[in-house]
Amino acid sequence: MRHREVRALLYEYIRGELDPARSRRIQEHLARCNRCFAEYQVLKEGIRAVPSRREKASGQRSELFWRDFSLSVEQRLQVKHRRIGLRRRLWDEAEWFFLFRKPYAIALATSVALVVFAAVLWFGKVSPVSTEPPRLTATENDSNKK
Amino acid sequence: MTADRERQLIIKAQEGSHEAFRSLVEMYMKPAYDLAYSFVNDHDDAEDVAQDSFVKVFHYIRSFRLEAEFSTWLYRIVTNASLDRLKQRKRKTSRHMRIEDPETLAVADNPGSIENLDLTMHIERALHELPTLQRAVVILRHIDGLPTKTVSEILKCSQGTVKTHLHRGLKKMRSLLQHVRED
Repeated sequence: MRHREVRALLYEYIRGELDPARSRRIQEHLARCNRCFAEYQVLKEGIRAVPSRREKASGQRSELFWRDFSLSVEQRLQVKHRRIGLRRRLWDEAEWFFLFRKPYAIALATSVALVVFAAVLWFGKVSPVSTEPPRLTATENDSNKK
Repeated sequence: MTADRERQLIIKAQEGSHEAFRSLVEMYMKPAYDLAYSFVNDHDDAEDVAQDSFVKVFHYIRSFRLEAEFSTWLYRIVTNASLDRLKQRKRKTSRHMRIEDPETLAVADNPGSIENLDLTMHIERALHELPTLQRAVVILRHIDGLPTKTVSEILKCSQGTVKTHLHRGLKKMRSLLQHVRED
């Protein structure tokens, strides 16, 4: 086994999580490689210094606590719902839409942009901005001559 | 409960069913609580973090993709919420230490006088010294005993990264806790 392979499996080796064949190969490697053995010693001390959790924290809470847990979550949901105003809720919905439904959001934005572009083109065609000076009517021409 | 049943519950919850959401909460409340407790090491905080995480799950369940593992997605939410709580607590503690409790400050400044504190506190303090990712890896993989693959999915990094951070984190913990063992 290569040094890198051995070092990648040291944690599992120390914790006894490897199959016997692999474990034996690592043991053989450690017996002849001083650098990997030093690494093994340091890691072993580290593992010993930080104990794993044997008892589940959830086991320390009463049955009543667990019976009320989902109820408490629902109460939190209601409180949050009440506290958040309509504007904020709409904003949240919009945020959700743009964050998690990106393809739809992009399609919507593109459609709006196309409609705006088409509207600009259409109204530009119907009433084009004229650069010529305004023409005078016949009566205005006569009064100017006088 | 089968994976199919879980899938159905998720779909119903995504459609807005409170009943289905409640069933999901009941399925995962204990693992979520255990995970939160591993980080915050306090029952009240663990309860708060776990319940807040489920509120987030309710709000964002529509974004959950069914091909992913629900438990991993939930654990990621709990992990992030727990790390946020630790940050808040650290800020609060440092403020209290600065303003209110000169004795605590003296203890923190002088490693020789910390023999009164118990091992759990030492470990918690040493964990705080680790960079965030290292701390999360040590808690999830070593303290909580989750498989490397699950940890890599929760933290969105490769299994190699998990192993590297685990080794570095444990080595650092060893050196940080060395004076405790010598005492």
